[in-house]
Amino acid sequence: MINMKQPVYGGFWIRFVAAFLDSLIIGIPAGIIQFVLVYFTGMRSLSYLVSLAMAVLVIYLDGIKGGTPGKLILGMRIVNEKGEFIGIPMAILRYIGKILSTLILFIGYFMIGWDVRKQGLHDKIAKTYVVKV
Amino acid sequence: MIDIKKDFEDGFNLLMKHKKIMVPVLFSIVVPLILISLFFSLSGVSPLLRELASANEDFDKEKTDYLLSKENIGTDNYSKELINYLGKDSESSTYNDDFEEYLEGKGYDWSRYKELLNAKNVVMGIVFVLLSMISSFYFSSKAYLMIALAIKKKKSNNLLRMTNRFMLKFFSMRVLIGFIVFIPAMVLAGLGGMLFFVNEILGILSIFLFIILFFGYLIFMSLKLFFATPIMFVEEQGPLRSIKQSFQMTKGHLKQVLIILFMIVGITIFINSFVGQPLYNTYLSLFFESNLVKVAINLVLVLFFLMLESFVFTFEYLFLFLSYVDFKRLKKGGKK
Repeated sequence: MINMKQPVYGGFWIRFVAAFLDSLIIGIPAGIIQFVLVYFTGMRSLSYLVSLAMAVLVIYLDGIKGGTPGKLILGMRIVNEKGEFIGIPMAILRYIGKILSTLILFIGYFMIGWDVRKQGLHDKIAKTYVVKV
Repeated sequence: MIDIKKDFEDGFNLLMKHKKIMVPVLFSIVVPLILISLFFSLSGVSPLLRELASANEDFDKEKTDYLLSKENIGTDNYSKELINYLGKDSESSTYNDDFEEYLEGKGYDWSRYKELLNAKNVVMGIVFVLLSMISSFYFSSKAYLMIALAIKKKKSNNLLRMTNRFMLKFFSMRVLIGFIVFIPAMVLAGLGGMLFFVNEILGILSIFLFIILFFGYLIFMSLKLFFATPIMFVEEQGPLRSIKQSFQMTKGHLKQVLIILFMIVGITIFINSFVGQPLYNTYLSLFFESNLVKVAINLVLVLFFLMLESFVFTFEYLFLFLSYVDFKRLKKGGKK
């Protein structure tokens, strides 16, 4: 549980770096696994399973561990207003929120830059905060 | 303000409590899939598609062999080929055009498909489409009804009879909505066509303007008619009354409705990307695969994606209905 009395919110650039780290730690291995599986089995359907596993992993880490590896390395956690980890249902809602943030030309992500509590659209939808620990 | 987080959590809890709702949703997905495979087999399209799938597999292997060969890395064409291959599902990729060229080079005979376009297959196609529609309406009505009963904490001993009654209402409402949405589109298209005959430039400009107008109208109507289905099942109203009530209810609250619509769009994209598209592509692979091991793996994947799709679709319906209840509660609160 994180103390939310005087929280230090994670801003746009540090979260951008965290996302970049995630693409290296999760994205690249997943891409390689996908390619190898499809190439050696000739079954494209297996690539969908990898994409789904990646989404499940991100949801699990966000909901139960407080964030994906990028955020954890940089000392940030995703929490609710009480300072608790958000759990699986809210992590799914946040993930769907990220789709919407992308859909509106990434404005949902840019919101982190000017919002007082550094919340992106996906954070506002799921009522979550990214705080430094 | 609508509490998206609460509706989302309530949706999950309600689904966990009433897992039975997933059954009709599962049937609404499975029955059309079975009908599609039956149609492919009976019409004679199946062997041709299997041949096409096999040609695609060979073509794909040729491409990956080229991309993985050390000699080709660094050549002028390499990066272009790699980008086209990695983005083969996108419209900007030339992968599909290259495949067409490949088929032409192999002397692929497309005329065999034309031969299948006979009266017997057309009639069979129409019958199968109708059967798919009926099953889809029936099972959707049943799912909506079960959701409405779960929200109202009611039980019904006559679910079958209630479903039959609601199915006709639901179908009529969809037809009415179809008319409301598409009649203006047809009028605009007719006007555009007439103007095109009078003056080509004027015609083209008006068609552009009409397309923009139609999209605006489509968004507006989607917002105004957004609650018609929940109203029909929760309030047990007829088609016309549901549409009318949805219109009245959303008056002056379009921003709130837009937020819920936005969430539904997000859930739909999530379903399509991670479950829907994989399900249909895996299903097609299952249908055209000849290797038994691959058929078995694909079958397991299809069953897995089917269960997942019925779960997320049920959740989406639940979220829509709960948002409606929340919206209604807010509106009542606002009036006081």
